[in-house]
Amino acid sequence: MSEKKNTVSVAKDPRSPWTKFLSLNGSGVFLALVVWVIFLVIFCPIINNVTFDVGTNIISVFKQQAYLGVIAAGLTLVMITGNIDLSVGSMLTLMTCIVPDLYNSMGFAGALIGGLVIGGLFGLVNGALVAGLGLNAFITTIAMGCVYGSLAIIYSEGGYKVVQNASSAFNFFGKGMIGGIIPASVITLAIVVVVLAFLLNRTVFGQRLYAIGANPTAARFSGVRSRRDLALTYVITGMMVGLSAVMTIANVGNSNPQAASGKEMDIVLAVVLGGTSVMGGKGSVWGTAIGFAFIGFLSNGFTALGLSQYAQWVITGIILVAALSADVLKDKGVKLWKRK
Amino acid sequence: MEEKVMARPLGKPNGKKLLSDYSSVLIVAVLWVICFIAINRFGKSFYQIFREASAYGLIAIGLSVVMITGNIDLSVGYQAGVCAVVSIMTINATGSIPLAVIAAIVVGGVFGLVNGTVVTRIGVSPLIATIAMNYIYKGLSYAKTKDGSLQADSDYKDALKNIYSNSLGVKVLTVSVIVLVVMLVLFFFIQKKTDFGNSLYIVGDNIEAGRFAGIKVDNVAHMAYILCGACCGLAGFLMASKDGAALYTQGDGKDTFAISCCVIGGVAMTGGKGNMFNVLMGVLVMRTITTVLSVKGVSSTYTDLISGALLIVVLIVDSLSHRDKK
Repeated sequence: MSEKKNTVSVAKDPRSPWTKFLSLNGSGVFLALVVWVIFLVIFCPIINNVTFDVGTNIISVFKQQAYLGVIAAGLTLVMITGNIDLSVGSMLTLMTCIVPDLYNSMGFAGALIGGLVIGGLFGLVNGALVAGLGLNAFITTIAMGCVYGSLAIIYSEGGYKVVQNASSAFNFFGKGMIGGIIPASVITLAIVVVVLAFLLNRTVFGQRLYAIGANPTAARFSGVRSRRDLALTYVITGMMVGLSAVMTIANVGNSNPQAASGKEMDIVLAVVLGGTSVMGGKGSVWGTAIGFAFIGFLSNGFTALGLSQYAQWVITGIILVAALSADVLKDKGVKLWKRK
Repeated sequence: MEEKVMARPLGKPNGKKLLSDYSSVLIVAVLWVICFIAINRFGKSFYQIFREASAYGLIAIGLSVVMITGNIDLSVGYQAGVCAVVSIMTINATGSIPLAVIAAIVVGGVFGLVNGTVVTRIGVSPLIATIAMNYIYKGLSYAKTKDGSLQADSDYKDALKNIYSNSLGVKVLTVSVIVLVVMLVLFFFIQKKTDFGNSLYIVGDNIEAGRFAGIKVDNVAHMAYILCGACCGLAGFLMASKDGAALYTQGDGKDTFAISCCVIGGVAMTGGKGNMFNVLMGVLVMRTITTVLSVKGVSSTYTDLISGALLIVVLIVDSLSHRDKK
């Protein structure tokens, strides 16, 4: 008997490829994304007399929104543990006010490292409150969002912080195009997604996060130091906010104390659309990337269709509610009026 | 006859329990004493706290009903914003204030119905569902106000403003404040004295137990959303009556404010805990701080900072006091 025959053979998955695909995180949103893009390609020429060039739009969506995707990837870790961070929008605002000063005094490397460190510290504050003191994550981070938001205005005295003498490397980091096609910010986003996905799927730390999200008590009894791990997810999210702020500043060149308010809603929605459960224990960084692309394409498509901002909000809401409902119903089987 | 289900533990009240149940009264009292001592002529602006509390308070009342069932509604601010637009439109079309009130409440109720359907019938997480719904309400309210305001016709404007700011004898007593008090008493009564009120707490406390006890838990949670929407509708009308116009920013930030009021007022985020009286105290705390800061000429930036920090402190104190009990 050779060694190989003793190993347990994994039963062949009897499900059809289609069912397997549907059970993946974010598959529903991916389908919706494809449908939406096809819709745009067909209807943009009819409604608004413009052709919707898929290639250019993919690049522009990712280029404009990459900075939010970075945060969404970080927030995925927090949400997998069943917690949430609603302060990321205001934290981003505050960080974008700090980063120009960092750059002006310490240069590109200083801004990058300083951004990661300071962002990480803000994350640590959130983590200390939520994980250390055991406060309700939702309400605590809303409150911290108020604090960060006002600190941003106080720090920048309500005005703009401007980057002086931006080096070519700094400019390239923000708005450069590699080979004239791929934006540098997208490369940053891709690196972040790969690293965080690796952390989540291929390390013990990542597996512990799923355990905490699925059942915190069971995780603690199994020897998971859930408080430390949870705090760490907040620190990682904070660092991603710092990175995102550097990307924003490198792209735009100045801070705006109003710019990122309310962005946390977009970010949370991107994570949830990507199949991460708000209850925790389920989700993936890849899914978040898809959810983030969907949100990006929504607003991008509306602009191509020539809708007003107000109509955009209303239709975004309707599509989001439909997508979220479809996702829930998919898991439940369609029994609309009888919950359990 | 069916026996009434008692959600709350019976027993004689003791001092310690009273203190922990009504600690928000203490906060308000201490806050006011400090204000009267530290701030010159605080008494002159004291009435403002109550006037401004009316619209905010109504939203907080509605939200607290939803929060007691263990759900949340993050779209309350813009629900009220749309209802403000609706009431102005109704007044301009019909010239009747009672009709405007009814229209606002009905539209608010419909919003609650929709939110409740998505959350309780379909089963989307309340947090995410109401964030998504908020986009819809925001779009609707901006569509009519167009980055500005929707003014009431001049014939009705004064009548509207009177509701908000014309005092009846005492400076504190305006129609809007009376509306708030009536609604508070009404909801206090519903929660304490009716089966529906009891089932609200059971659904928030232990939804499975509620289901086994024969309570239609989904219906109760759905009804909570509808009541919340109706409260927002009424609040929207009051907001419109303040300026005789619906402003485009009117819905902004009201949801965070209302959540703060509820949490300071002891409504648990996990549901099953909280009462109207304490929610009122929460509203008064928040309004007092905002009023004091605006009287002192402090910019609204610091208001956010201070209310955020205060909320954190309340949460920490709350969690520490619970830790002692273990």
